[in-house]
Order: sequence, then structure tokens, then C-alpha cells
Amino acid sequence: MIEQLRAQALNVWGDIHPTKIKPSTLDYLVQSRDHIVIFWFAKGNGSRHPVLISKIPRRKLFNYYLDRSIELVDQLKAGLRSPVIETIPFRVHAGQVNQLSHMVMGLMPGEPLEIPGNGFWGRRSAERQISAFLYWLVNFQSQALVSQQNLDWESYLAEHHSQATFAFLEGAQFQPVNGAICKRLSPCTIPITWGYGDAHHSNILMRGDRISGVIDWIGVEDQQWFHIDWYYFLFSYAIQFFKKNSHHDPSHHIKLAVSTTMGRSDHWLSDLFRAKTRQFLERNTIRPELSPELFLTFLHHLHWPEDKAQLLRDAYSIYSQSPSR
Amino acid sequence: MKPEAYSDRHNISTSSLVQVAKQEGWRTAAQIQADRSGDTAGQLEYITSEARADFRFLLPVTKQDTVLDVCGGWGSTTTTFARICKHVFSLHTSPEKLAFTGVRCAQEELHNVTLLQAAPAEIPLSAGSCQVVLLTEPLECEPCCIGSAGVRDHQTQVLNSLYQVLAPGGCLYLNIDNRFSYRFLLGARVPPTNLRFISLLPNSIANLYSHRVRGVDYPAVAHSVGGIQALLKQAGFINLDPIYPIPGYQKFRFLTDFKSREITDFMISRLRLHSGFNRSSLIFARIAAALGVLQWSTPGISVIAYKD
Repeated sequence: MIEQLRAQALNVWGDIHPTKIKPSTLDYLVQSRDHIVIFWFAKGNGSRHPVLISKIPRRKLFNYYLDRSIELVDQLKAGLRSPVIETIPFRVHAGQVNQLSHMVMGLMPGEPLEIPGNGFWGRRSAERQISAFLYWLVNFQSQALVSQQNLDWESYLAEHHSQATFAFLEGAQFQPVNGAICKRLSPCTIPITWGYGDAHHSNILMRGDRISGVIDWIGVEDQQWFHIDWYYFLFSYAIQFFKKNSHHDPSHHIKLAVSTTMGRSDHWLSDLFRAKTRQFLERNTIRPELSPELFLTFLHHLHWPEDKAQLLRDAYSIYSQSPSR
Repeated sequence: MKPEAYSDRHNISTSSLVQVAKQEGWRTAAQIQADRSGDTAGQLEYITSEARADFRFLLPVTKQDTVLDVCGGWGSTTTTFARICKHVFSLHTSPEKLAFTGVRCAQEELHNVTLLQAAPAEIPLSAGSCQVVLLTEPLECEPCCIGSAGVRDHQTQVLNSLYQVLAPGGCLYLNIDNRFSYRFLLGARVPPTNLRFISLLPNSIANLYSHRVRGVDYPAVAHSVGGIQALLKQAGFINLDPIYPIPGYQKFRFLTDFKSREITDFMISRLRLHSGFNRSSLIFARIAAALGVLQWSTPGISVIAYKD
């Protein structure tokens, strides 16, 4: 299979690198993530950077998402301009291998965001990274705005809640909390924009103080609430931060990440998130005090591979215990 | 960590798992067992994730091929290959694990799987009947089941038996623990002996050491790259191609052949983002890469080998 993939990648070389000489062959490094990623290196060119990157889904069933993302990103890029457009990779459909779609793209400049430590320099680094992402997202959303919509949370829950959240919402304990959230959000009009869909820190490339590339657009959406990408970034950042810097068990990392992203923790990361979220919401003319509620709407929306009801239970508990409630 | 030891550690009852799988679906059963284990994410991923079979992208496997999956655990590899191949034989000594694999395949509507309960040294298939053979759980799983036979003899028997069942030109994919793993070099206890540094010693000295401390022979289950290649050559395999799953074969993030220093450097730079790879491992990886010995000290080794 690797030989077929190599041949297909070389076939689209001219589309990705129109001015560069095609190498005779490519060495590989396979990465196992949500999809299979193959980094291709030009043999003997001495560079430690790959020249092409292939992405293949694990199952035929997921071809649709890969193919759809290529189409959607093309549509999205048609409406974007500098400096945002340069941060989105050019991708080509290279064919199929064993009935699996094969997408190829070039390497974006910069290095993936590395989760910092808990000390002074870690704090500085986190501030730099989160500011850079905030700047990129605000720019991106200003160019990718679709409409403004009333956030009718009650109707959303009635229409979209999944089986996992259904069991949770039926619980008498959190019904009043949910009612209060609906009430606070009911007069809220929010921007609907194109959504990136996978704002995990490892997909965000940075050079200097700016975001230089945003990769992995499989989850791209042509209409999404503006705050989903922001909270996805903060929440996944916080999970990884506590995974790296705390010795508690994994379930505790999630609770810490929830309280931190909600701005309800004493940790410095929570203070940083609160300050940056305030900027983000103000840029979108949303009242910053609605942040905890918006975060909860994000959690309902989030695809969570583990126990979603437990995640919501933890989040609602933290929300209910807040002194500001 | 080996899969058998993994399940023992968490006291998983495989027979109850099969019952739950039949009644509530295999994913629910996996979730329940993972919750019980106390390592929800790790165990759930071990049972359910088809990412463990991502090595298939390195194999010359086609829709017309018949695959033999030997000791395939909870069926992740079997189901993955059943989707892309003509037929899969799933072989295991454990009837419960086979039953779980059967339920899983039925629920995934994969009807091209045959379950075989047998030892890997006695495969009930005719010679040359498979184009691909997978041995994703290491060779050392089975010696405990076969009594007094020496581990090396058993491993040789298994490899001979796999060679027989392969069609000419067919390929074998095999995982093995590395006796010179950096973990052992840094003082981790070597399973199943629970002794430090024993895998680094020559086998004769390791035997003496084991006898003195534990009163039994050292079961030399792990191999070096050269050691496993020698065993495979002895069994008749050719075109041996070692691949290194990083950080380990149970849950790898990268598969590389370490043929280029540039690729190694790039991979190490990406490993910084992997939460399972701590600072000391990274420093060790950097030093080992600079010295050109990283491939000799990875925790696991995979080999792709062919039958002439």
C-alpha cells in the first residue's frame, strides 16, 4: 500500500510545488492520529522537514468527510484574503488506495503549539500562544462571517440533544440550572461563521508571535456558532496542560480543564483564559459575563468520545457552585 | 506492557465481557470493562481502537488476500483486516477472546471472519493458504501455556508454523519486545521476571542470575533487532524489513524505519507534543538519535518479512 501512496503523492507533486523539481523517490514517516498521516521526505535533500503530507481515513465510511472537507475548504478559501488565507493549506485529492481517499498537501511553515510548563516561562508562553490564536480566530471569523442568529438555546436542546445528553437533562438535579442558562442566553444574538472544527493545539502552527498555519480541516463547517472554535481551543489546551503538569488521574484533568475554561479556577491559566475570552467576546459584541453559559453550550455541542453525560454533570456542578450564580 | 498482563492487572473477566457484548453491544461491553479497570481511556482504546492496525498501510495487502491474525486480542486487528481483505482467520488460544471477536464481527456485519481456537504452533490451516500473517501480540504470550518447552524452541516452532501457512510471496507482520529497550536500560523491571537489567545480559548469565534470585530459568522472551531477524531467517523468511513503532507497538504514534537522520529528527520534534512522552524520554531519544542508536533502544520492534 505504501508504494501506491508514494506513487500517488509524486503524481500530484506539480500541483503542490509547481516550481520545485520533483524528487525521484520519497521516504516516509507514518503517523497514527484520527486519520493516517504520512510525512514524505525528499530522499537525500538534507532537510528535516517533509515535502508532502498525505492523509488517509481509516475506513471507507470516512471518505465522505475527507472529500467534503476538500470541497468546503476550497469554497472557504475563495472568500478569504491575506493574512488568513496563507494559514490554510492547499490540499489535493490524489486518488484512492484500497478504496480509501488519499489527500495530499504541502508543509505549512512554523511549529505546532507546544503545551508549556507551569512556571514563569510557561505562563509567558501560554499567553503568547493564546493571544496569537485569538488574533487569528478573530481575523478568520471577520472574513468568514455568514450571518447573525438568535441563540435559542431551548429549541437547540429540544432538537439536537443526543442520547447521552438526554439522560443527563432528564435528571431533576440540573433542570433548574438548565432553565437558568436558557433564560440568560435567550436575548443573545451571536455571529454564525465558518467553523474550523479541530482547534487542537497540535494543529495550530506558530512562527514568532503569529499563527503561521492551521492544519487538519476535516471538521470544517460552513455554518457554526462563533464561539465553538474558541472554547474548543481553550478546553483542549487546558486538558493537555493539566495532563502534562498535574499528577492527578485523567478524570481530574477533565474537571480541572472544565473549571479553568469556565474561568472558575484559581489557577493562573484560568485568569488568562478569562481575560482572553473577555477580549474575544467583546470583539463579537457579546457580553463577557455570558462566557460560562456559552462554554456550556459548547460542551453540549462537543463530540466527546468518553462519557458525555459525566462531562456535562461535572460542568453543571462547577457552574452551579459558582459564587456569581 | 503485554496484553495478557494488561488484562490480568485489571482483573477483566472475559466471559462476562462476552455476555455484555451479546446483550448490549460490544462497544458497551468495552466501555464497562474499561470503566472497571480504572484506566478508562487506555483500556478502552486498547480494546476498541483500530488505530492499532495502522501498520497495514505498510503491507502489500489487497482485497483478494486471505489474512491470518494470530493472538489478535479483542479483535481490533481482525475487524480492520476483514474490511479490506477477502477473508480473515482469527486464531487464539482463549475461547472467550475468540467469542468476543466473533460477537464484534457479527455486530459490525463482517461475515468474512473464521474463528480458530488453537495454539500458534499448531495452526489448523493448509500450507500456503494465507497471503498475510499478523502476529501483533508478541511471541512470548504463549510459552506459559505450553508447559516445559523452552521459550526459544516455542518461538521457532511458531515461526515455522507461520511460514508453512503463508503462500509463496506472502508477508508476515510481527511485533516483539526489544530486550535493549531504553526503559530496561534506565532500570525498568523486565517482565515476567520483575528483575532489573536482566534482559541486557547474555542469556547464559541471565539464566544464572534468574536461578539465583527466583530459582527458575530466565525466559528469554524479548529480542534485539538482530536476534529476531536471525530467528526469522532460520525459519526461512527473506527480505526482512524492521519497522519501529514509537513509543511502543501497543499504542504507537509513529512508524518509522530510521533510515534517515532527518526523519528521526522530525519525529522527535513531533514527539514533544505527545503527552505520553515525558521530558526524560525525550532527552534520551535526542541523545540516542545523536549517537545513532535510537533504533536499538526502542521498546518494541516490528518486522515485515516475506516468504520466497
